[in-house]
Amino acid sequence: MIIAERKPIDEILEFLSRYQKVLVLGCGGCVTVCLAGGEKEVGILSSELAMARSKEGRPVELVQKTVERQCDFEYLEGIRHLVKEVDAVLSLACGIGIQTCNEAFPDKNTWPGVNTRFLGVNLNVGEWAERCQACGQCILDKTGGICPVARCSKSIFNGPCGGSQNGKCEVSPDTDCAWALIHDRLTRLGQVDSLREIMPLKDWSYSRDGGPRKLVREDLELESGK
Amino acid sequence: MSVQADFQPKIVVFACENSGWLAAEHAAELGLTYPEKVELIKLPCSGKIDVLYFMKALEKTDGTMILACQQENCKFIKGNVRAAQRVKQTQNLLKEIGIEEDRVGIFYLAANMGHKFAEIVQNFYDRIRELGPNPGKVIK
Amino acid sequence: MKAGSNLERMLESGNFAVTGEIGPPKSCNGEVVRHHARMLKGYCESFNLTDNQTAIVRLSSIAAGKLLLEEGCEPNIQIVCRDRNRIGIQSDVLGAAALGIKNVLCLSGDHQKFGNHPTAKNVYDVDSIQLIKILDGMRNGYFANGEEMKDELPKLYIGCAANPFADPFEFRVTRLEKKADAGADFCQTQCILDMERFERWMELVRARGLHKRIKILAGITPMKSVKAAKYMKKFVAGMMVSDDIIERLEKAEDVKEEGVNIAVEQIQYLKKMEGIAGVHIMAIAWEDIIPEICKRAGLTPRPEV
Repeated sequence: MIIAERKPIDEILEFLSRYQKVLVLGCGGCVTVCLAGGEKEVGILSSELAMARSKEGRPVELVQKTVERQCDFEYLEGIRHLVKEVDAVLSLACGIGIQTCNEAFPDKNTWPGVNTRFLGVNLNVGEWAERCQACGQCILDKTGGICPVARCSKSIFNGPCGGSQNGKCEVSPDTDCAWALIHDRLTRLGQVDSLREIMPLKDWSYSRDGGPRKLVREDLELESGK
Repeated sequence: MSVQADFQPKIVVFACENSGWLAAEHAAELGLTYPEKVELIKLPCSGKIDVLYFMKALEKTDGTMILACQQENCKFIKGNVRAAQRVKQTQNLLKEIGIEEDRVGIFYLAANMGHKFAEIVQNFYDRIRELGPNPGKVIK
Repeated sequence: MKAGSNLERMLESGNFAVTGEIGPPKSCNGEVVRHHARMLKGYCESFNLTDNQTAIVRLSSIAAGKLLLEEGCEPNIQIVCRDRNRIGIQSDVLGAAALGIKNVLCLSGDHQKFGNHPTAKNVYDVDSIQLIKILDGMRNGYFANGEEMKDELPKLYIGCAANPFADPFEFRVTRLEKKADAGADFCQTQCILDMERFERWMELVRARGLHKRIKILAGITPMKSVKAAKYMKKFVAGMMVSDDIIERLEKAEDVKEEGVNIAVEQIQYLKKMEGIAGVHIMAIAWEDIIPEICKRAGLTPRPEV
């Protein structure tokens, strides 16, 4: 899922400083699961913002709403009337949801309430780790199901580099060396000899490097275009 | 901080029904009194407390606290530990918007501690009186 | 001969080779590089010029290589994968070859987190093994995309690094094999401060016959202080420092002198080790000690080949 984290409160207060009425908009998707922008976080942040603004002597009226998903235009249609009544929107969705709001409501600012951090997994309560970089051409079949693009600090394809010691990455003792993990996993599976092969240059054009990506599946498209 | 002579803090006390709530009843039986603008809310366990409850309480009052069972003595094992964590989380929120962290607190006691209940509430009340009105109060 | 560099001639003729290392300055003062070149001329076959080592911005390795050529020394330019993509790297290699640079050492590069621009974006379009393969392709007339070069081909003698002190231990040998497969001609190891581990690694290397496919230069770093040795042991990822070295330095009256003694002894020991084609002396921020080490280790004068 997409992992996000609330922005520093001062940044949010700064965005909203000129508004009297703001819609604090949560998302029921990934940010709810990672405790950054669901209904509960909308409530807590609204409370905090309201108190901060009262303290400044410039109260703000906050409307709270959480939609099923902010990354689908359909769900945003249902809150058009709410957006109409406010000066601006503060979205607690990931970068995708924030942009979808801005696109759906072009006449109002939707401000980012979170920093979208990465695509990852929940390891423990309050602990998440990156797992995928959406590079567009999965090689997990070759690396024992462990992604070096996302999990090696250098995204190298023929690791581990010389900075791997005791299974940890040179970047931080808290970071596992992805290539040590790959090596160990393939050893466990009896497939470690496959690492003798040199992995060829990566085609990064499937990744962000090829420009903003778009996926069209004609088999799914309807004649109306919607 | 100077105490405003006429300032009477409003306080919300969340109380675990296995300790704080019973201690309050015990205090009443003993005829102990506490300041009148203290509102008591019963919870099935201190672990039921949520950051949002504290924040909502602070939107309209000057201080809030949770009364929990003695440490290691929660009927639901970890409820009071969770409650302490949520107090800390709330304190962090207050801190980042420049509101005194002391406006939220956790206190531990047992069901038969009526005197302790009265003392905790009075001390907290006095502390909030010292701090003065909650500058972030939304509903005045 | 692939490139005809001093280093290549020395190694391919079976002589024990010596390479040194010069860290370019954090300024455009080329005189620093020239000074080292003049001081070290004649002691080593070639000198590594680090490429923004530890991710700290320094005078470029290729420009420093050109300065070395002007001083009559042979450069071995390092290229890291951190800062340039396959377009930039190939362009720089062509440029370096045009300037007369023949030895190129391919490295992943230290992560930028350790440097003076930790907020930079890294590149890592290719990794060090892929880089070796690209350079091997270039000297055979092909760009990384497979396109044939229409004009003069760069003459390159390709080097790589090996770290016997990193993990997983046995896979380190496989990785060297991959580098040989990719086309590397020589390899310089991480500095040896734990001879026992190095010997174990060399055993595995010899067992696979790798020393016959790639020239191995053993890394030597004279220790300047006990503190430095302890720091390397504790904080440098992929480094091992044996306790006996630290103990010797601690007991020494003159630590620097003892550091040189250790380096000299190591070289003399390595000279006799099967599969060691030479030494690579990395006297970090202590380049002027190289002549003394070479003299005392009996590496002077350099043979004519």
